[in-house]
Formats: sequence, C-alpha cells, structure tokens
Amino acid sequence: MKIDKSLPYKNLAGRPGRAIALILLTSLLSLTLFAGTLVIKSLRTGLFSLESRLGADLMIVPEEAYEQSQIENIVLNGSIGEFYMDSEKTAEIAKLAGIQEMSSQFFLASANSGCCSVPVQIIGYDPETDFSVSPWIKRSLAKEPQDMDVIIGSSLNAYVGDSLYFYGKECHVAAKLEKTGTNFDTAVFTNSNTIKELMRSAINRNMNKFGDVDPDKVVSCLMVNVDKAHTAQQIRLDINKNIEGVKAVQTRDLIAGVSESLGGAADLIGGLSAAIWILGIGILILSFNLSVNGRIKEFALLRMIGVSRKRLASIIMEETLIIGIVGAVIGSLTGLFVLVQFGTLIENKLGLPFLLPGTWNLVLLAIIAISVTVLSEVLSAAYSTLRISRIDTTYILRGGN
Amino acid sequence: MKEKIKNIFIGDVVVLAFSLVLLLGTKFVFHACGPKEDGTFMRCHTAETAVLIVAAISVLVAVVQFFVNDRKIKAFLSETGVVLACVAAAIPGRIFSLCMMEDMYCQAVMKPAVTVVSVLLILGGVVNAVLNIRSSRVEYSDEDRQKSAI
Repeated sequence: MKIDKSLPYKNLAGRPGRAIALILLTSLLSLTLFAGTLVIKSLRTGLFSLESRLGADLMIVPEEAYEQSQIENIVLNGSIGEFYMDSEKTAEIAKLAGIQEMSSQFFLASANSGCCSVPVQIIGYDPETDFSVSPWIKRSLAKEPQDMDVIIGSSLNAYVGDSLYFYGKECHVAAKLEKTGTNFDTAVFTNSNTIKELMRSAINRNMNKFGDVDPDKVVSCLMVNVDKAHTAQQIRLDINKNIEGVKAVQTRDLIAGVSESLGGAADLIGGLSAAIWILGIGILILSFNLSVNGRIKEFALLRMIGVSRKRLASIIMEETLIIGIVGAVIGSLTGLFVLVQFGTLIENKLGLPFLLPGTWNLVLLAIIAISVTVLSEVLSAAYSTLRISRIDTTYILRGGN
Repeated sequence: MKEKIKNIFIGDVVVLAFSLVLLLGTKFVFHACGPKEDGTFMRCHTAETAVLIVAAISVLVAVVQFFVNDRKIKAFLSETGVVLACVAAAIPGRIFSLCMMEDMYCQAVMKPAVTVVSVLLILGGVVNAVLNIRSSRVEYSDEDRQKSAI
C-alpha cells in the first residue's frame, strides 16, 4: 500500500504542540553539547594563545612587584600597573651563563585613553632585541614601529590611522593586533623610545604615580630565553640567588594557576552538560514512548489499511529525524550566536583567557553537535519504533492496549 | 479561524513583552557605562539613549496593535516593529560608537544583550506579520465570497 510521502510532515503539523515541545527539547540538548564543548575549547585555545604570547622562558621583575603579584595581575588578571627596576640589572644578568637572548620591557598605565575614563596598559618593547611580542606584532605590522607609533590590542575601539593621546602626547595607531583572547587584547604596545617619552610627559605633568624615576635608567621586566645547555629552572635559581632586588619567574609557573582554573572550569562545564544530556535523553525516551502510546490506534489503523511494518517504522523515524535535525540546527545556531555575542562577558566572568576557535573549527564543531544530537534522538526513538512495528493490530482495534 | 486569532493574540503579547524587555532592560539591566568621575558621560551614553527611544516607539507600536482589528494594519504595524528592532540592533557599535575597550560594560553587556533581544523581537515581529497577512487574506476572501453571493 502506497502512503503519501509527506505523511510524517503532516503528522507533525497536525500536532504542533508536541512537535514544538520535542524540537525545543532537542535544541536544548544540541545547545548544551555545542555551547559546552565550544566554551571548553575556547578556554583551551585562550590558554594556548597566552602561552605563545608570553613567548619567553623566564620573566625577571623587581622583587617587590613579584611579592605584590603585580606581574601576575598584569599578565593574567588584566590589571593595570607599573613597576621599575634599575636598568643596570640587565648587564648583571646578561653576564650569567645560559642566557641565550634577553630583552627589556616597560609597563606604564595610561591616565586615560583619550575617550574614556578607563586607563589602558601600555607596554614598551625594544624592537631590536625583542623576541617575545615582535613575532605576533609583525603579523599585523610588517615594518618596525616608528617613534610615537602604537600598536593596539584587538579589543580597543580605535583603528589604524587614528590618533590616541596619552599624557598629552599624540600617538598614531600603526596597527591593530589580531584577537588573542588574553589581557593583551586591551593593551597598547609601543617601542621603548615612545614609552620613555610618555613617562617623561607624565613626570612633567605631575601625573607620575610611579614616582620619581629616570625613564632612561629603568626597565620594568626582562624577558629571557635560556640556551639548550641549561634549563629554565637552573637559570631561575641562579638569578634569584645571585642578583639582588629582582625575582625570576618561569612563565610556565605563571600559567600553571590559569591551567588549573581552566581544568576546574572545564570539569564543571563538562559535568553540567553531561547531567543535562542524561536528563534530556531520559525525557526524550519517555516523550517518544508516551507519544507512541497516545497514537497506538492511529498506527493500528495504518496497519489495517495495508501499511507494512517497515513503512510504519520508517514513518516514525522520519518524524524523529525531522524533529532532530530542526531542533539540533536551532540549538547549535543559538549557541553559536549567544557565545559570539557574549564571549567577552564570559571571559570577564571566568577571569580566564577565552578565544573562540576559527570559522572552520566552529563549523566542524556544529556539524558534530548536530550529528550527535540527531543520532541520540534516533536511538531514543528506536525502542518505541520497534515496539510499534510489532503491534497486534486486531487486539488494539478491539480496544486493548 | 478562532485558532488563528488566538495565535495572533499570543504574537501581539510576545512582541509587546520583547519590546518591554528591550526598553526596561536597556534602562536598568544592560545599560551603558556609568558616568566618569567628573560626572560627564562616556560616548556609549548616546547609544543607550538612542536604543531607549527606539524601544519606547516599539512598545507604543506593540500596544497600538492590541487595539487594532484590521489585519492589514496589524501586519503593517508588525513590519514597522521589525524595522525598529533592526534599527535597535544596529545602534550600539554600528550607528553610534561605544567605549574604548571591549571588556567595558557597554561593549561586553549592552551591545550583545540589545542585539539578542532585538533578534528575538525581529523573529517575533516576522511571525506576527506573516500570521496577520495570512489572516487578512482569509478575511478578505470570505468578504468577497459573501459579496458575490449577494
């Protein structure tokens, strides 16, 4: 017996309430799977991005900056700060064995960034010796930055060619960096000449919260890479033992805390997602069972007019597939839309690096989430389908269940 | 027919609810950044004011829909609501620029929240407009049938 191919669609349209409820439940499952996985993946991508952006084995900072966790706050927590040590320490450290490359950096907090009352972190680096930030700055700015040029993080609302004013000095935006998902996204990078000029301007305007320091005789931190014959730990111990007033920190140790927090957040998100999935699948199995029980006479009638058991099962499976695909697509798209919109807020609330993966990874993740959801939906309906294909038609139509 | 009228009524309620969320939410929850220390406002304040004006007009249009019986006018009002929601979505960061950093409140909360509520308002408005247009076609074809019978 031939049955209209559009019967599954008509069945769903005939009971819009049931169809909408099942689609909503399926979209919730898809959203949970997609959003949960995407958040965990974004956190991992953010951590990887932070690791690669730090780009040095050791960071050497003034002892008091280490004790007050200032370096940790600037790099990991997005705090704005400034601290300085005598630049002569550079020569002392350079004499130690095992130092392969070393470059100085300067930190300066802006009073304001020209338009808003929120200060930004200005980081000065020496383009001639730098090896930690230059590689990723070069991706956005091929030439070396000129004096009074600034390179801004992706989260700053200014564009190449704009002018920004720091301590009354006009700086030109030479490049805007790609998103890193870290606190460097809200920082401003410039060469050491420019940052020294800004420090002098701050001193002249009596806005130097950093005290009376000579910009030409200080640095904020030293980035160090060790040679192959030594380990970072050896050099760290060596510096901490022999050089007074400074503290060497292994960047791996600096990130260890973030890595632990990330593990905790990932476990929590994974656990919650799993709980929602178990609950959702249970509700789906129950819903399909109840739905099939409610329609048992309809199926018995279809059998009576000559519909085969196989065709009956395929009608139910087609209905399930329609619900599954529509719900899974809605859920994944909703998850993507919400996460893209609220990514910055999630990053702020979690206090962890957060970087959404690239477009193709997002598409792949969405396809996986949709496939897994549809498969789960089909498996949830499988038992009901099997049961209905074995119904005793005459018994049902006589009034039995 | 009764079922369709019920759906249209639900559609009107949904559109009014989203319009109110846009208006009250922008005022009290996902507002712009606070004033600076000297009491002046940052540039995002203009965007907030603009969203509030558009949201207030949206609420007005949604309220008027309740008192209009003509399906064609209702459909036109729904379409107006959709256009207003599109404008509201475009205001923060597109029509009016926001503050300097993406982690500031206006960028991290106001912009995405206004976008999400506006998208919901657009979807609600489109569904409502379609329901009204379909219903108006049925009404007018019924009238035509009655006229031709006379």
